[in-house]
Amino acid sequence: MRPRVDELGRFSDAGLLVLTSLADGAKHGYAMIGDIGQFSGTVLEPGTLYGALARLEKAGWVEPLAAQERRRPYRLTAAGELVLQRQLQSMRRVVSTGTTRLATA
Amino acid sequence: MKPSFHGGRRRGWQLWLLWLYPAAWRQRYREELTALLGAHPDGVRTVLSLIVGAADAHLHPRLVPRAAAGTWRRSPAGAIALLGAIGVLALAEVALQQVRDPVSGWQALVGGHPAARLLLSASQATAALAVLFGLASCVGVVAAVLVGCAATGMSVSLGVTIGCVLLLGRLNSELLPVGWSVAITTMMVAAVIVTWVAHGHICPSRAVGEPAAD
Repeated sequence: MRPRVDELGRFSDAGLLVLTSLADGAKHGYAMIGDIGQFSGTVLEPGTLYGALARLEKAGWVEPLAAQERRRPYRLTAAGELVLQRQLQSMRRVVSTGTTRLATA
Repeated sequence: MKPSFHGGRRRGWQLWLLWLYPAAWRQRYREELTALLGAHPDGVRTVLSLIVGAADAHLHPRLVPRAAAGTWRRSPAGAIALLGAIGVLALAEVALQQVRDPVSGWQALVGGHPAARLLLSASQATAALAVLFGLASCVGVVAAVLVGCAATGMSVSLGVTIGCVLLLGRLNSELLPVGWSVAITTMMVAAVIVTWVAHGHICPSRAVGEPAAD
């Protein structure tokens, strides 16, 4: 079955941000919030981050690693990487279409 | 925009908000989220995100596999505490009935026997103790339920709900006949338990590590 990012419900944006953050390697929650703030300007709050993480973990798109002290890193799974690639392709098509239509309007 | 962090400072009042989450969720994420909150900037948005996150976790309990939390089979302490609390409530009810009419019960038993006066004195002393016992039982019921919930990893909010229902039943008993009060309280407790089971907050038989079905 083809995975759908919109299954993440109201956490879809946060889920996409988390997947993107984990695309270059495993991170724990603190590092994810900092990284997401840097590349998107969005400061995820802890409650929102863990709501998204719970959904991503249940979907099998991220997986927890062994805890380091009290912080637990997460990494992208192969299925998560596939979902992220598809979502980014879809977003690129939207950007391309929107840009083209604005230019011709 | 880069978020600013204050490293290592823990905020107890924020950590208390984690108790709003279901037990299974706390068991899975509490430690790492506590570590994150210790480093995250304080603010209204953080509080709101935790409150909304807790509500979301209650609305979607299948997100986190239940593991050991809420398994009555593994740890019957919660069920025992709950039954004990109900037993205490019932005893308090009997005791308070004795307070309301301490004489007639004993008179019916002893009639005109010479020992009646002594027994009536004992009855009045019992009645005085019963007042204290009845008052203490109100606090005791809630405390026993909460301890039971903590022992089994059940959601504290479930314990608070059941405790409130029991107390409402206790107040009802002041206004309604005992039979009605017991019936209403039983129905309310049953409704709460059925509702919470339906939402997956209590899982009597799921084994540890068994995945939750959607």
